[in-house]
Amino acid sequence: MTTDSTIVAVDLMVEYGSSPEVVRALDPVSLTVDGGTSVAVMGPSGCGKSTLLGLLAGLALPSAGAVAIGDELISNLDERRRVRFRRERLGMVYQADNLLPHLTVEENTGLQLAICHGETAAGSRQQVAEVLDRLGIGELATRLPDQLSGGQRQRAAVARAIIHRPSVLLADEPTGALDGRSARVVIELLVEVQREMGATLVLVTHDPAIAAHLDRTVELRRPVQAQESVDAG
Amino acid sequence: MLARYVLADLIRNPRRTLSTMVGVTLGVGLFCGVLFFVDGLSASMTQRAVAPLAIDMQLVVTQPIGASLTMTQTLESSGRLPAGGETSVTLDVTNTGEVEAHDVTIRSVPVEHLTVVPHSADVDGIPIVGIDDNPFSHGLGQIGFNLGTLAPGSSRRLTYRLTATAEVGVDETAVVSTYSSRENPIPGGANEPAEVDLRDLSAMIAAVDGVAAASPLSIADLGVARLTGAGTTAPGPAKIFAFDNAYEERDRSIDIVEGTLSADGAVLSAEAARALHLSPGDTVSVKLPDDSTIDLVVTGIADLSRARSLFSSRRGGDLETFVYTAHSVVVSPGTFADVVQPAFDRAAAAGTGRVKAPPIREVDIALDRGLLAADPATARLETGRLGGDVVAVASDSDYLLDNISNTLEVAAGDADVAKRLFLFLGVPGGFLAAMLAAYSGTVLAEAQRREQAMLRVRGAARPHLLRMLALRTGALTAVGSAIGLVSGYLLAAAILGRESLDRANPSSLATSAVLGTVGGFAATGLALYLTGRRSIDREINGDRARHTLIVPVWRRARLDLIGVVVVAVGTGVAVRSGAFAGAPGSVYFGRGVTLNVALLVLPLAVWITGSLLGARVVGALLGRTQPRSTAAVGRPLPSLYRLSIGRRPWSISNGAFIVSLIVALATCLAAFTASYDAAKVRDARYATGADIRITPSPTSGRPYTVDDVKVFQTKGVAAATPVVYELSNVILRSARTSDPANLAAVDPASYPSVAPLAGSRFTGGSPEAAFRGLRDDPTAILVSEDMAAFLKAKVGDTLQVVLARATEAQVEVPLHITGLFERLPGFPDGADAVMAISGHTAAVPSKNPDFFLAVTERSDSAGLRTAVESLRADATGGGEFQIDTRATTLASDQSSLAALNIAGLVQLDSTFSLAMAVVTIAIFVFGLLLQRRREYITLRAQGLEPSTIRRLITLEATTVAVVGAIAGVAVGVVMGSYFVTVLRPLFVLTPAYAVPIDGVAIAVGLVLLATIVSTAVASRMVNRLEPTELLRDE
Repeated sequence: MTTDSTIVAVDLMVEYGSSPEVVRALDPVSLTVDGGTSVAVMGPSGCGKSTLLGLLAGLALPSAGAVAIGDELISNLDERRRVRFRRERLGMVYQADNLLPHLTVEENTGLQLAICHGETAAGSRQQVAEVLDRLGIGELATRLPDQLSGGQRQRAAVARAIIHRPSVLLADEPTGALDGRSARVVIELLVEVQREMGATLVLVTHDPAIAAHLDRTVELRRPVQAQESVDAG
Repeated sequence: MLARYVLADLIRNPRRTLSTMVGVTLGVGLFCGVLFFVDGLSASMTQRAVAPLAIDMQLVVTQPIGASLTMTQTLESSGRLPAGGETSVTLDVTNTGEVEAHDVTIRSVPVEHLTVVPHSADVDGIPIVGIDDNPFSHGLGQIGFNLGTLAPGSSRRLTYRLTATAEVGVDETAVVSTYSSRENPIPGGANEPAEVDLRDLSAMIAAVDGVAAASPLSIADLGVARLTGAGTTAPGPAKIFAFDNAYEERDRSIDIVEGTLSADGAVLSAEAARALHLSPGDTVSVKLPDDSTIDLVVTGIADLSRARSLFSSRRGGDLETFVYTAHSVVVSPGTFADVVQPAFDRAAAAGTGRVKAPPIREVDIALDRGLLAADPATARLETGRLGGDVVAVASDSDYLLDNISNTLEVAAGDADVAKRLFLFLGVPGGFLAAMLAAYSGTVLAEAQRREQAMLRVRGAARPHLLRMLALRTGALTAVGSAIGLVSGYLLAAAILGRESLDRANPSSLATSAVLGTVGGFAATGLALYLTGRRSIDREINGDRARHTLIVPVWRRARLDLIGVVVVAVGTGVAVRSGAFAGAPGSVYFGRGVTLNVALLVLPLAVWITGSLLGARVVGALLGRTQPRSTAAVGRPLPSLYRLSIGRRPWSISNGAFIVSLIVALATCLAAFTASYDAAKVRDARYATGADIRITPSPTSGRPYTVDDVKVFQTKGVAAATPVVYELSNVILRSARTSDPANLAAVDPASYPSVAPLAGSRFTGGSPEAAFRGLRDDPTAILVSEDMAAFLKAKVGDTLQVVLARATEAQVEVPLHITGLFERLPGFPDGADAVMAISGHTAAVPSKNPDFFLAVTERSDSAGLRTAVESLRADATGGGEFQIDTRATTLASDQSSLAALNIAGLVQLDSTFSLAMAVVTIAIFVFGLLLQRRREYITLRAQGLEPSTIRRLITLEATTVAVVGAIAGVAVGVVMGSYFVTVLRPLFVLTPAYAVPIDGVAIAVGLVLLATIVSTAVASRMVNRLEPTELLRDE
């Protein structure tokens, strides 16, 4: 049974190029993540972890297979609907913070609300302030990203990902660029707010210690045909 | 290894490679194009400069009136003369002329080692006494021996002995003997041939290599009322010419409308024929200065009213003046030599006073212009050599008026100024190309940031990266330069015409190719390399990609403010020292235009400083809007736009600087071209006197009167006005002195509305007020400031004006001065006074205006064409007339740089500038995309609509384009004004500065169009970016 935020991916496969120089980025993979739970995706470099995350986010379309989140078959939606899906139901955190460099922390966070609601909803100031306080960066709200440390920037990125209370959180090695302590703080915060919101979290990581914070772990293997293709090529 | 990597990188990233290379290509293309253009233009300047020249060279024969002496010198022996040996010298002097020669003086000087034996000299056997040394060169002044008067046909023999002080060779050069007389003080050499007949001299000159033709021409002033026929005497002064059929055939300005030249007859000017009521077959009597008369059968009628070769002044310092004499007669050279010249000789000898000026006898020489070098400086050397050859054929006493060398001297000077001027006009393009290369280099460096980081991770050190940068820059600039070289040549050929470049000196073209390529290669390559190197250093120094937030170097160094100071000081110094004044050129004085080309640095400084200032203002204004941080962001698009431009103002500012440079250059070029063209037209209109000048033909059977103005008011002609004008047609007499003057009689009601009086200056009032005074007061006269100063007269004084001067109808009228003027349009020789035509026609019998001036309804070329066509078709009124227009005046302008094809160069500059504008905008937009693609992809991932992202890109690019264009137009207007000010000496009138809206609109429109197209393409590319990879990359 699926809930509103349950992720179901069936036989997802991604190939680039055309015959005979086809490069497979993701071997066929099926994955189900129950709504409100969290899963860590692990695997060697090049196995398609980020590609899988891109498919789940609707940022890319699979060569084969399908992705559904709740009742919506993401892989079948047109671009416009996928954009709306991301806007309303998705929050993303990356290895790089990807904060807009000319926006302050509160603006980066508030912008997500503005994108979600067309313009900043009433009470958004307080909502942003609460989230930033919750993530321990309330005092840094008016700073630009370049005026923050790596950990602070990543917390700001988490704030941006959760401010609109998405039902799905996708994180691509969010602690990859952080030291161990900062990484632990960030991941704990991320999981904490995910559980508070009841969102589904898919997190890509290399680090088993990070994966241990999540409900379960899945492992991807390097695409066989892709490997063969590279070797052949 | 590195080279292979760089090559592979360039090939595998074709878009990046091409976008970087295009800056180099345009830069080198522009450099080379300008240089090729100058080569091509120089190659056509010789032909352009000499085209309007009536006579290439005039060899003026100075044989005086009243005497024709010859002298032979004979030495008794020749060969070696031992020391102490003697020989004798005999000099025979003969007067072959028809009149006495007075004060005939003989000089005879032996060479070294030969001396005159004292007291050995005699004249016709009578010893010369009282002089102890050489009597033919004695005293401190080395004075010759004065024989006294020599009667016509008589001879005197002088002999003396020489002794050798050392052994010496003796031949005819051992003694140098000359003769002179009161009539001919210029010494003639012994044993020189007797006076060479003008026709023989012409034949000898025609045989000189490089001379196409040489024909004799004789001119003499006969005096007043010297032509009679059918019982009538033509009033006023008359002239007599002698030339042959070959001369007439070569000179197209001599128009024999009826009959032909003949050996024994005469051709009359149309005015003389009309005044005397003579036709071919009738007889005209010409009264010569010695009061003898010759009767000649009229064999033809000629229109000589445009014959510059006959009527151009021969007085030094006044060679440009066309001194027309309506009543003229043309005879054959034989008649002139046999009858006219002796009559002048007799009159001069008799001292009857009728000969004010001796006849002018000259050989008019046409060179084979096709053989002259295309480059005026080289051609000048060639004509100089030819002039030397011609002089060598002539007698020592003859002199050469080398008109063609004067013209080429000016053309060479003008070509030199043109080259420097053109290079200055090309400099902005070159600078722009370097800026473009630097800008694209920045974008390229940004694109390679990650690759370089990867290379460093793999162990590449700074020297490796720099070597790769050098290789990449070298490859890009080499290929770009090669393409630029070809494109520059093709564009120059397209604008100038292929044949112009074909005529150009190959070595000059090769030099231009090397200079242009190396210059462009160095400028753009350096710009590309330095930006890349800066990027590498920044990357190595660990500076995070924050450079869009950093205040640019020029702003930190305050280059804009330094530039303002430089421009202000430079302008101040130039104004105070009068450096903008320059000096106009003159072909006849062999003087080129004096342009202070160094001043062209000022508009370039204005250009760069203005654009930097514009960028500073843009940056400061945007920075001032720096939004305060708030979590309530508002609607995404306006918020993102506001935050982006407010927090990254220098990104917009830098882009606006480049756009401003381009738009400013395009605006400046458009304004410069428009002002230049308008000034040329205004000058031509001023010289013509109006848009159109209608001169009744002397051959016309229908005389035109003042009332015939309406005949010329045909379609396209707004108004016409009659003018009476001739050189020295009146005497002006004040209380202090008097002088011949050029008087114009005009209709004061219509003249101000037809003639362009805006360029004239009237003392104490407007031109309109001055002519109103002339209209209201029949006794009024306007006088030029120069003439008033000469006459020591002022406004309010009365002048006695002798009208119809030197005719039977001569009359003196008192007029009082109501105004002074500096100059008037339509009188290139300079009108000295102006009176109302009604008063003039009332006082003199002639009611015929010399010409009519007309103004067209429309001021453009099409309006002029329409008016001229309708005049030709509808305004004959039974008579014939010649039409000159401002366009024909412009076409015959040879005296200054104004004739140069500056429009062509501007076209070349504009083409490259606009191409660079398009490329710059494209690079800016794609650079924006490259720099901010991660932002755009993040926004996509956050759920921002792609259309909103597209609008965001468009808004930012449009902001750059619009603010850059606004700043650029403002800067271009100022820059253009400086350019026009520097070139003011090219024009008679001070050029009015004009900014053509359409030209500026095209440049701005093109920039905006390029923005729209670039953003449309860039937006599509945002959608094609691979978000998964981009979002993950650090």
